[in-house]
Amino acid sequence: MSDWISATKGGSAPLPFVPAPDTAADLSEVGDWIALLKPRVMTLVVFTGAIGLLLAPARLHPVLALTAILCIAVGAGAAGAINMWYDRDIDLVMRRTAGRPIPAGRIAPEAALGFGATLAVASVIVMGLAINWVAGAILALSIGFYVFVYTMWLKRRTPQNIVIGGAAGAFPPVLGWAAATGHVGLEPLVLFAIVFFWTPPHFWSLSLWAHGDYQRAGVPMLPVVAGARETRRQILLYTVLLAPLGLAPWALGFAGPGYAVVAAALGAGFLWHAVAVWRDRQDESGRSLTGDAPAKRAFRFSLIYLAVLFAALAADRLLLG
Amino acid sequence: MTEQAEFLRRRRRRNIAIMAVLLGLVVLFYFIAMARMSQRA
Repeated sequence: MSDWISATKGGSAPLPFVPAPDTAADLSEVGDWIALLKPRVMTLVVFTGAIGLLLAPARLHPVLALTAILCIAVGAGAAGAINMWYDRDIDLVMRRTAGRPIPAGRIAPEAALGFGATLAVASVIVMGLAINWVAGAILALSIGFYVFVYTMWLKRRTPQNIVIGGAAGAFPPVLGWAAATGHVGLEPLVLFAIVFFWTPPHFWSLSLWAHGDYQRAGVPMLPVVAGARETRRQILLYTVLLAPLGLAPWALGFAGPGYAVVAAALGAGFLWHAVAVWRDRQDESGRSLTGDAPAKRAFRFSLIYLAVLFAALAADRLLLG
Repeated sequence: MTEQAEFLRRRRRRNIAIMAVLLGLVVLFYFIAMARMSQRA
């Protein structure tokens, strides 16, 4: 403080620049604040939320539909910012996350928390006032679930963190549906279930080759706690459950046969990749001898799976009504 | 670029971003109000 005072009171000679103590965190660029919102996760959230909105039987005014999607995106980003605030200690020791704005020292932790909390509250209030309070309440629930249940409770305690915490990522289609209709029906719950069962094989495929990071950080991801062999078995198990679930929208009558063909092909493709992961050449400890190549392919396919499955649902609704 | 110039550049960019967000919200709230009124009409 005395440096700041002496620098600002000044004499005749030019003084070195000393930022005020309360601007010490101002090493941040605008991009760092955007990075706090986890824009890549936000993309998936916006996509699945928009599909929920599109599939709903009620139509929203385009401006209100855009507002609902914006609220879903901002709410998800806010949860991501609070997650980065809470996880700043483990982010620092993981190679994948060490460059994030908080561990890299470009944004102060309390500033990130304030940013996330403000956006979370604002997104819920705007959703409630502009759209409806059912959607507002579900948005608040999904943010709270991600922050308190996944980030603060499960992530560092159990290898099932991804399974239960995955529910947070499954809310957007329900949110989109609730925004349009003001209630929750069977159809959005089916979409919720698809994202819910998709999440474990998706993340465990990633964690099979990134488990060194999690081990260093002490995060009990399944490969760290139960080993790679058990993780491969669980990936296959969840994919076996997911493949028929992908057909549920057709079986329940809210998607046509065209969707069923796409869903069956995608389910078969995901199963093929999960079997390849399970049968990957490995040593006695279960460590891959192929550099986890099948797991990397399964991870990439899982992204395609969800994107194409939901796009097929949207196309089915747009083309067939 | 001096440390002060760099600091001022970052702060200017952040201020412009905040202004853009606030203006965006003004426009959004205007259109939300119009949309809700047209739905009630």
